Amino acid sequence: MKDGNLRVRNYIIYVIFVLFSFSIMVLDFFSNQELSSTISKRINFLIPTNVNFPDYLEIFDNELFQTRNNLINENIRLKNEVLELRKLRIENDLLKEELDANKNLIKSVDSTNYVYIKTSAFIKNSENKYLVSGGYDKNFEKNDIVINEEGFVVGFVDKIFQNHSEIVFLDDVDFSMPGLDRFGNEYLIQNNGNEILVYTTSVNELTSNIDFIFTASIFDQPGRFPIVSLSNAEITVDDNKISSNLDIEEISFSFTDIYIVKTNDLP
Amino acid sequence: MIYLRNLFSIITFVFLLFVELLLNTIFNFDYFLIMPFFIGMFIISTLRFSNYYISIFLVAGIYYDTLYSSNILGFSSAKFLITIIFMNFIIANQQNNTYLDLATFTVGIYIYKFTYSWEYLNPEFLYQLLISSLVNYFLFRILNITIGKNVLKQKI
Repeated sequence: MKDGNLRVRNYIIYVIFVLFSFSIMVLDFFSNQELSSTISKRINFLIPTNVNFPDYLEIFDNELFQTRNNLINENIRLKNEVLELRKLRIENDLLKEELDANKNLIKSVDSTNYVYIKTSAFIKNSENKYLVSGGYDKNFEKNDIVINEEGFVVGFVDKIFQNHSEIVFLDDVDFSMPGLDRFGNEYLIQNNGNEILVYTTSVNELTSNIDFIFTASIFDQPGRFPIVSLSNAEITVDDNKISSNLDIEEISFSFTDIYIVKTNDLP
Repeated sequence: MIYLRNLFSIITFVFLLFVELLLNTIFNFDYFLIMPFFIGMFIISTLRFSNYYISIFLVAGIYYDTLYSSNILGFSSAKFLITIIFMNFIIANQQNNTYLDLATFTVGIYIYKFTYSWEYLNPEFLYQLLISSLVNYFLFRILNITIGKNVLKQKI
């Protein structure tokens, strides 16, 4: 009986705190998430965000054991040196790859109008959204586009924190972005969980000869970055509508080599 | 001392939450998720249910909403507390039964992973949660057996 009463009392207190959480939610919702944004802006992330995925797997790096070298002998030193050289070689290869990727990026878009901030995904939250390094500290803004090393749009910035941001990638269920083709037709590109739907919202010229859907300044985006390629896709032209479906599994990109595009404000 | 203990518990659970996110990012299993934070929550709600843990889950929820997600502030806190109340209510009012434990664990996971987006209704995601509940319940049982064994009390 005593236990029963205690449990009921516990439930009541729990429910009071659930209601308290709901009241915080209502406050945050009606302040247009001003409350959570204020906290996000002021609190730094608790881990360094400039970490790449593969770094996690290198926990047992040989550097951990170097402090043990009180019994230093020539063989161990040489071994460490060889390992260091191997590491440098790997780093060199990675830098070469990054250089090539940057060259590709420069070739595909006019780089003078934009600034590209390199970022990489470092953690995935419970809603299956990736968090990338860089946030208010790097002047990111909501709906900034994210491109891969080939210059294709792979997502956009959804929520910004002090030094990291949440990204909606092309393969996320709630991805939705407007685009334009070379004939001036306006499109909406949406992910419905099974496939990527591309359909017109405003038609200028009915044609099936469409290669790419681009970002455009009329949608407040940096212009002419390809979002999807319809070159190999089946395009349906109805009475007053152009549409196409793309398989999600065809879309693959690296989460480590991505760039946030910012307009270059410098003269 | 009480405040220190409370702070230590908050840090532990926040760390567990962070570990959960980190594990699922690194391993990125297609069919299931590893949920140490939820296992901790299940242990609290079934074995150590008390008012002491309210502040811990409230802070853990706010921590998650503030730093990891675009959720409305307080959403995760409410979700965590509701999950704990629900699991405790079911377990406390029934006889000790493994199947009921597992069923409660499964429904608890569905509440715990609730989001206000269409992705929650995606059959693949629901299936992933079902598999996750089996895997994590198995981990919980192993942990429970390990915790339950007091080596010092064992007769030699």
